Amino acid sequence: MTSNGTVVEVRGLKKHYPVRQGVFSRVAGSVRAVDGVSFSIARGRTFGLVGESGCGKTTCARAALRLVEPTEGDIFINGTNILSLSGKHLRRARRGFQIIFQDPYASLNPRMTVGAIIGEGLKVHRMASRRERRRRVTELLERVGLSAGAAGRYPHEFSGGQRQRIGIARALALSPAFLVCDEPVSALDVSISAQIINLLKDLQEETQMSYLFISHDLNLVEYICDEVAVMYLGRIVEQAHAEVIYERAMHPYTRALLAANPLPDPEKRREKILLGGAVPNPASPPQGCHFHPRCDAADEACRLQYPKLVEIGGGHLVACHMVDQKSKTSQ
Amino acid sequence: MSEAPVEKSPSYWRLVAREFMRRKLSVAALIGVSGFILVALFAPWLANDAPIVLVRDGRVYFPSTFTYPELRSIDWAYYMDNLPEGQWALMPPVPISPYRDDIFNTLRPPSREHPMGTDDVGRDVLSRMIWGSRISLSVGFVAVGIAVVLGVIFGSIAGYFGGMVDIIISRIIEIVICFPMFFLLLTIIALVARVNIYYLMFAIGIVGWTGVARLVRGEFLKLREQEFAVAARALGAPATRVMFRHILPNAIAPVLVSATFGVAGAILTESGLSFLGFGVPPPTASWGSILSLARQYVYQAWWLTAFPGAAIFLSILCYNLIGEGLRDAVDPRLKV
Amino acid sequence: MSGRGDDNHKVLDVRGLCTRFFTSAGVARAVDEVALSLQRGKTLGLVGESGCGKSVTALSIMRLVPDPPGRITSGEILLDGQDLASLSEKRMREIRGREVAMIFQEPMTSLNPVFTIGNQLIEAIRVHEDLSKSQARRLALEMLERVGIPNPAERLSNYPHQLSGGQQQRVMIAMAISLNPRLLIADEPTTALDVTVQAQILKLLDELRREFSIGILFITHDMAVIAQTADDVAVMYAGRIVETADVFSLFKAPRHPYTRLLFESIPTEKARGSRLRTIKGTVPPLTHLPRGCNFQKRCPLAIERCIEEDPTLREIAGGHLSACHRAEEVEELMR
Repeated sequence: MTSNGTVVEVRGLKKHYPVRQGVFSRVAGSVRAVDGVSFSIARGRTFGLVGESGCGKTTCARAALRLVEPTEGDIFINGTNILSLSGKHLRRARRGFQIIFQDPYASLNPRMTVGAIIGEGLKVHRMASRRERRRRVTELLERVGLSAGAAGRYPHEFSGGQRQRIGIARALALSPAFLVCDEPVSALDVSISAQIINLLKDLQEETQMSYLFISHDLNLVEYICDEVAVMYLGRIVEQAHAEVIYERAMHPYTRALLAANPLPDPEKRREKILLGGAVPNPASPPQGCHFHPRCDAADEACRLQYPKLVEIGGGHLVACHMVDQKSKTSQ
Repeated sequence: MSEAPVEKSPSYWRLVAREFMRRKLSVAALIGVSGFILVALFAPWLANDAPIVLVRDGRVYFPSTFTYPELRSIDWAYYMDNLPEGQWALMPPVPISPYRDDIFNTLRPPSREHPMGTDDVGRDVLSRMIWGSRISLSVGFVAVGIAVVLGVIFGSIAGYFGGMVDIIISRIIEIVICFPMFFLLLTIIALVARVNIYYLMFAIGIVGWTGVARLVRGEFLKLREQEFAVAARALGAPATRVMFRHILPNAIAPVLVSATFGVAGAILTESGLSFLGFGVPPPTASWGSILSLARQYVYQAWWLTAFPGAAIFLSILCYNLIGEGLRDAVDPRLKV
Repeated sequence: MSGRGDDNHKVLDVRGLCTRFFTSAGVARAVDEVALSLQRGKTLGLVGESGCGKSVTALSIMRLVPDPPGRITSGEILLDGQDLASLSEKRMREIRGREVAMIFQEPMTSLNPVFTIGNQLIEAIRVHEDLSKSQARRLALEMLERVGIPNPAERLSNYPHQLSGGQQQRVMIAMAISLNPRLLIADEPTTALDVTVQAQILKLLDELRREFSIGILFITHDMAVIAQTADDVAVMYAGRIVETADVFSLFKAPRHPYTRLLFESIPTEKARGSRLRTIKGTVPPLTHLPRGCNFQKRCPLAIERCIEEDPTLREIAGGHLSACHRAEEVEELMR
């Protein structure tokens, strides 16, 4: 951990997938799934990454953990650039950063008992004897709200919410400083998802873990995150403190997203600023600002050049020519 | 809560077994195959000239009289007909060796003495059938065993690592598949000077691994991206552990199903080769070779066709039924 | 088209509907004494968590419950006064698609991947209407245009996979409304879509409802979507309707502890900094429902009476029904 309490720092992260064509699999181009994303997360804080499907948020999270190999960038976790590690060193470093997944059905090996799943990290890193491991698994199970008897059972015997708890216990076993939560509740029912969210908040309070929280649910991100970044086609278009994003969003995409977001209140049924079209194919994003074909305010500059992500005060970052111009003229 | 004992619940394979047991036809087939296997295992005690137990000069020879060095040179057929005074012997249920010919009793129809008749040199067909089951079954198991081992190794490497390794292995698979299997087998057999059963097993295995490899590769490609495999990597588990502890156990069920069908296929291939005269060399008995002989006597000796034909048919039917039962039992819709 | 002119006319009136699944684990009461009523040109939201029976209710109305193991055991399903529950399968086939249409969560699975969009649309129209191919094609084009598909003529010759998820759902909607049904059942139609596309589809459904005076039965697990789309809401729990009211009074003052807890477990900016309310335990298996109230074991307000006596749906305030013995106290006790 560095002195300013930053646990995670990601700089200029890129992940480009080659598009292959023809018999000889020639590289014909690339999908820029993540295209220069930077952020940092302080100890005990939650950083939210929101966006629609295909915006690259999941790839970004996985690249940040080197579960997919980034094309470019730097990732400092606890002060170590994990991109400089390889083989055994990288595997050892993985104790410090863990992930929980969206799909509680796919993320647990159906052929392993819950005890083996949760104890696997300890076993892989030889962190505990068999006896200690069993004790630790019991402890973890109880911490996440399951009974110790669950250790001998198989994942299919549990409900979605319980499986998500098992996945959390697996990640917790290694006492990571950084936890990626990749849509952890979007497959769960509301009442169950509330339990999981409360659990994640409690755990963060206890252990001061830093969370990277990925979600498409704006209401949820607003509730749980300290800082929020909105992604569109591989890039962050706006980033600010959670309240700022929801109260003073500047980027037209963020605004459209917020407007489209249904609120659980029939009194707030507003005539929506409807965003036309859908997210373009990431293999051939529009020239200039990726958002300009769907943007009402777009002008010539937007068609030509991708706007830089600039700070407009108070840590509020926006990548939009219009906002940039406005803030310049007002200065 | 911590006092609660760790409850063990049935593992996946226990559930598969339970599901399999619900299918009566498949269970019957399993019993049938077990019967065939028992016959093959105990062939020397079921059909032989030599007795199972022999008491000679106060010494008891058991269980396999044919393994004692001092008894090796005995011509059992003659010896048993003239059993010396004071000696006692217990004969197998079919007291005739598959190789004992009898030129006075050629092509005899089924009778009390020869329940399945005799062949063109007077050998007992039942005895040959019993010994032949060893060839057929061992060819099936060993050949498929080789195919599965090779297939799993190459398939998992190709599927897990992808990229160049995958491209190379996949192209090799495609090349092997391009050759019609039967002719490839004939070529391999033609290349070796003296065909024996091991070459046959090896050849069938070498030709058959591609199917398994493709299956395993596909499963690995699919499972590699599954979140539980990603989770294992995230925990810092090395590649070998991810491959063999996480992915393989989830990929093995379809392989097992295809292997079961593969055994049936290998038996049929061996029979086919023997029928064409490329199989095990005479006088070794196999179901295929008896059938091959039957070709010349189709009109005179129906029993030469009927019994080996029925045995091949039944064993293949059984393996296929087991395979089907297994396929249904390991169905992912089982929700485990 | 009898009764279509009358504005307060009930398009759908379900009474005492019971659907059972006869499984090896026992008889599952998937739908139990369900009553719903939907007026013409209105949207009735049916909300509940997974496994509460909302989709089975929809399938029961369509008479598409897989039999075996499922069967509608009693109840009336009145569509403009005609009881669907007692119709022959042949007559029902004429009604499906023609008078009652349905759209699903995954448009991709309801479209056949080997036929073009046009092929499927035209076929669907010609099954019910005696039209020539070119007339049907003209109607299909018109519908695609109406649901906001750009270049409809071109799209007719596309295959489903060539369309985005939102466009596929639009095609499904075009197919559903092309025969001008009285009732549209939308089963989680936007759950698989992104929020901007969801907003477009919800708006489209709303427009079509007004334009064609279709009654929409909107099924979802998402309270926020219900708040934005429905006129009336029915909340389902463990096979039963536990509360029903117009959307405003339901969200303002829920009269059933389950509804109330559901609302409070939704994370919103208002809840920021505080813990979310949760519902303890899990939904009981439909094969082994508890005695008394189905919600009794998870309810913070449960009293002796809830264990003894099964509450029935009763009117608490004008048009606001709740199946709770303590409905009047919910507001006060659950602050």
